[in-house]
Amino acid sequence: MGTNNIHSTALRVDHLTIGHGDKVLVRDISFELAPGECVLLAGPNGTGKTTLLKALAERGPVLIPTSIPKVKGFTVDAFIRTGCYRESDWRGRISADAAARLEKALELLGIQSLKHRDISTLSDGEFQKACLATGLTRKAEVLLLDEPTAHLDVENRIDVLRTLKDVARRTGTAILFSSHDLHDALQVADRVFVLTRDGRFLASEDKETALTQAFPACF
Amino acid sequence: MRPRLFPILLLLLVFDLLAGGGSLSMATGAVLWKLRVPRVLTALVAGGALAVSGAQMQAVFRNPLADPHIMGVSGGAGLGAAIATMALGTSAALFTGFTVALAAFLGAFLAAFLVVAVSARFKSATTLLVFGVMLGFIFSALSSVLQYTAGEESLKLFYSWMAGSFAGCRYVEIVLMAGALVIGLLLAIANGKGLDIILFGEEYATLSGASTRRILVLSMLSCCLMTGTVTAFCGPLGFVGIVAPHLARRITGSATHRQVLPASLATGAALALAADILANLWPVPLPVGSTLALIGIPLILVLLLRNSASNVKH
Repeated sequence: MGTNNIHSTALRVDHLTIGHGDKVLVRDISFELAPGECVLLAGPNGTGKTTLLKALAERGPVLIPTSIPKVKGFTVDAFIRTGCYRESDWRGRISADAAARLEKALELLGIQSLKHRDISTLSDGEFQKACLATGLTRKAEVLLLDEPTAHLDVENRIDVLRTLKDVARRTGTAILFSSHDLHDALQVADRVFVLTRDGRFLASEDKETALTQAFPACF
Repeated sequence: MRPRLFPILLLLLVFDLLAGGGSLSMATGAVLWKLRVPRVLTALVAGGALAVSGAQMQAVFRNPLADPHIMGVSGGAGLGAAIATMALGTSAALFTGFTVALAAFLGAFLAAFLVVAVSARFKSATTLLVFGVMLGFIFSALSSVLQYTAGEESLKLFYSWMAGSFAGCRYVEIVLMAGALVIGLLLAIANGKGLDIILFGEEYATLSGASTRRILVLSMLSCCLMTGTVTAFCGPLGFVGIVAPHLARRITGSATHRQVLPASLATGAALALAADILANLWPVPLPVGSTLALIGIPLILVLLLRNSASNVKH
């Protein structure tokens, strides 16, 4: 088990086992993520998608959890700075470098005009982009997103998924995201990782094959 | 339009100095310096301290109705005061206000110590909140048992402490409260970015690299120091800690603690002064605990209803 960043690999995981306490969910997880790659993590409920993402986050990548509350009284700018907890001083001020990355992230995501808007007034899609901006401001080489399209309507879902792909391509950030919206997610994913009910981890270049093994009843 | 807090505070301060017993001519001398100035300073410091405590508790527990007494601090202070006035004997003359205050302070800290001690065992802030509330009930129940067995003089002393008052504090006590306020406020400011991120949930805070336990312990220390000291000298005063942070967020239009903490200090002081003015408009001053409730409850209802009963939107 280990994680290394080398030139052509943003994240490498070898023989990782995940579980809750003594209960093992999935054994022998091994994969590599290349810079700029956008990968879907699929699998039925309870197979360990969130557990895997949390285990990976402990090794360095930034994880954006699902259902972050839109607290009233925080502008998009203040929200992103708050999320940069480790990168800020005791007053909550981020470095000039981080502030430059923040501006660049807002520009890349097309949400500069929302910078001073209260996050409670944002649509779910806009808020998800603000969450992405937090990850980019934190200089993540690998960004993990747990169900970024949950609670989104079709229009916002497609917009957020396309944005993920675009961000990965343009910034070289490797993105691994979990989703239940397989049809839409497959449109943007370069590859699919699958967690099966019987505790296996499948990484396949062929998206259809991996999904057929994960959801035999559906294919 | 954001009302300017400083002129409002100054106006209330002047009104509070003018309010109270004794004629205006008397107010220029002993009445002013020995009674009214200490009372006004007490209201300023106590109101500010309770409000800053409330702002922290509402953030840590992400609960718009959390206040500094919610963690059993007031119950602990009450038990301490009850023990001092009753269990140790019926000779109330022996127990001056300072003794009651000291016992109340120790009681408040006992509650705080228990909460911090068990906080390591509870993963969720909500579970800790339930523990604190239950602890408060246990302390109140023990106080009631002591009252049942107490003499008339002891009960009188205890009830006068329970009613709450800004009057009667000497300068030395005000300095003690001001010292607690300064330390508590500095702790809160140092914990400011932690209080901000905890509003987005424990999971998000942890994933962002924050220690939720450190945030909780720092805010508990700050609250207990301030609330324990104020409650010891002024009695258990409710509603400032709930209402003032809501007012502060409303006025600043922000929930970030760089803005909420100083604004709460001002709104808390203003509320305490307003309650003290109302209490002293009558020939016999009313208990401040009651006037605070009379002002605070309508305000909290209006604020919460305007916010659709929730400060957090999912």
